[in-house]
Amino acid sequence: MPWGSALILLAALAGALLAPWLAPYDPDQVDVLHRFTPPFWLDGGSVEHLLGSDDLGRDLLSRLLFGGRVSMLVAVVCVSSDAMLGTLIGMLAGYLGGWVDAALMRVADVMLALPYLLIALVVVSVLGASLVNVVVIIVALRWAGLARIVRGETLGIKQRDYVALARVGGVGRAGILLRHVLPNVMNSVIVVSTLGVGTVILFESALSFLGVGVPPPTATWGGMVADGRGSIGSAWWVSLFPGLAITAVCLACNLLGDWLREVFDPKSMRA
Amino acid sequence: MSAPLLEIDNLHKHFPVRRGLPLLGTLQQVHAVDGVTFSIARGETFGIVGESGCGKTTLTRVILLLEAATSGEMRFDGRGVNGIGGGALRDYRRAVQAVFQDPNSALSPRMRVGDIVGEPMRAIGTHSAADRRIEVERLLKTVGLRDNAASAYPHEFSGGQRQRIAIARALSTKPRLIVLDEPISALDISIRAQIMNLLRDIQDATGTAFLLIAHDLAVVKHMSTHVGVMYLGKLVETGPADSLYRRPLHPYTRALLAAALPARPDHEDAPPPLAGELPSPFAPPSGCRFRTRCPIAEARCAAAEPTLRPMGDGQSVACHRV
Repeated sequence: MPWGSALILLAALAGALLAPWLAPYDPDQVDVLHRFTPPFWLDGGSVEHLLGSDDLGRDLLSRLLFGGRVSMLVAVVCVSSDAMLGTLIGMLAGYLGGWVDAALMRVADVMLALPYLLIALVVVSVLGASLVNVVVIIVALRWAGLARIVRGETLGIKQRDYVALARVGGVGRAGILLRHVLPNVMNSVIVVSTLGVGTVILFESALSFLGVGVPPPTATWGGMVADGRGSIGSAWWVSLFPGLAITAVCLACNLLGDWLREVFDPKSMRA
Repeated sequence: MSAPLLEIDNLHKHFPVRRGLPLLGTLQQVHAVDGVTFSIARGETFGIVGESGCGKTTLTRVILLLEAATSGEMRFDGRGVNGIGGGALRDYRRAVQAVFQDPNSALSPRMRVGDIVGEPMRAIGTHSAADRRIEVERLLKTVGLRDNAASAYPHEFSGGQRQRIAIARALSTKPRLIVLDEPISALDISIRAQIMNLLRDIQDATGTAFLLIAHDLAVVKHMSTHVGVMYLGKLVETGPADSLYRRPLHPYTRALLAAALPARPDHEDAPPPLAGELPSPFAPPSGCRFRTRCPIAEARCAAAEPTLRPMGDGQSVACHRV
């Protein structure tokens, strides 16, 4: 168990969940008299703004805590929706085969071939930026990767004798998918999804950075990095802290995903 | 004598295979099962022997309705089986069960043994949940497993024990025919006799008929009342086990017996071992399929295909030279 990663994720989750109680200020409260206050350990910093303030005098610590809520909510919702959609489509394509497989996998190929940042920019420009739109775009662009993996696994499981024997034992298609295929693809789904959390946070950050993510003034980590880029030479802390948060959470998710991959590897399973 | 339990009449199973480039390559048919006819009487064991690739396993998959036959008739208990569905299919599933070769692949690694054994009863709906638990315990006891086996997972058992679990599951619907596809070839030599004896005890107690597929002639001899010898998708010889083993007529049967039972390897009269490989099923030889490896082949073997002819003692042979 990678305890460091677990600790980082737990801290990030606790910060996000408890933001209303932990944050010293309203994250959107503007205070033009205290713009660009440096963090407390620098000259001119004060313990009133532990991590300093941004160009509108908003408290960075508060925005970091509240921003984590949005970033991680988007990550969890997107990854679990991806997992359900990708697993369902992958299992159906792999088990039913034939034209169902061909049709679903061609759609998946198209989704995988799309330049996703460009598509996201176009869709948001047309539909407008909102939290829901961001989630829908990320899910729509990401399910195909998992569906391909699940389909491959399903093709292998379909060949196993226990599936043939389930048919001999009178089990129908739905029963086989639910009781035999699903439990055996879950390993891959869990591992791939865990690795996906970091990717989704990065993607949401990229959208927010480009100004097509969750609309301001709502704080998100990516949006905060974008807010600080104009003043990066003089007030580097505005971008640095949200950037560090993104890096830490993504790294922790990836390490945890790698660890899960090893744990679920049948070769590492002990009797 | 009553009607046979399972009748197979001129059964064919062909697989289309595209060889070469996609769309440009030629579409060919693999004749995995090519005109097989036999029947299994109630409560008897019909053994089928043959080399790997001769179509034995495909034959079982067609009989188990896992693959649709290309052509030919199957009748179970006098009723047609081809293309059945609904209630008739459920009745057939209940009456015909199977045990496969590899007990690792046959048991879902994420299900408890009790759920594996009870699955057919649940799917076919023969027992309530409570009755099912009692019946699973009884079945596990029948096959000689420990009391608390139902709550364990398959990986906690050895190969022989896993095969016992698979047998318990096959018995759970009180079937009238169990298809045994190489039931002991994946097991240690020391376990094989135990499993064979278990199967015989079960047959004595329940009167279930077996279709036994094996490549080991000794196993088939020990278990079977009737035997069919299969070569490249066709039965080349059938007959009661004792007469077929005492008096093998087809040169392929003789070669198989000679290869399997070298009781006196120093004797000169043993026929020469089989030379060469099984021909490609894409392009089986003309006439008799065995002629390319047959020690006594002659010109007419390439011209005409021999059919099964009765030879007395219930034996039938497909060979021009016998």
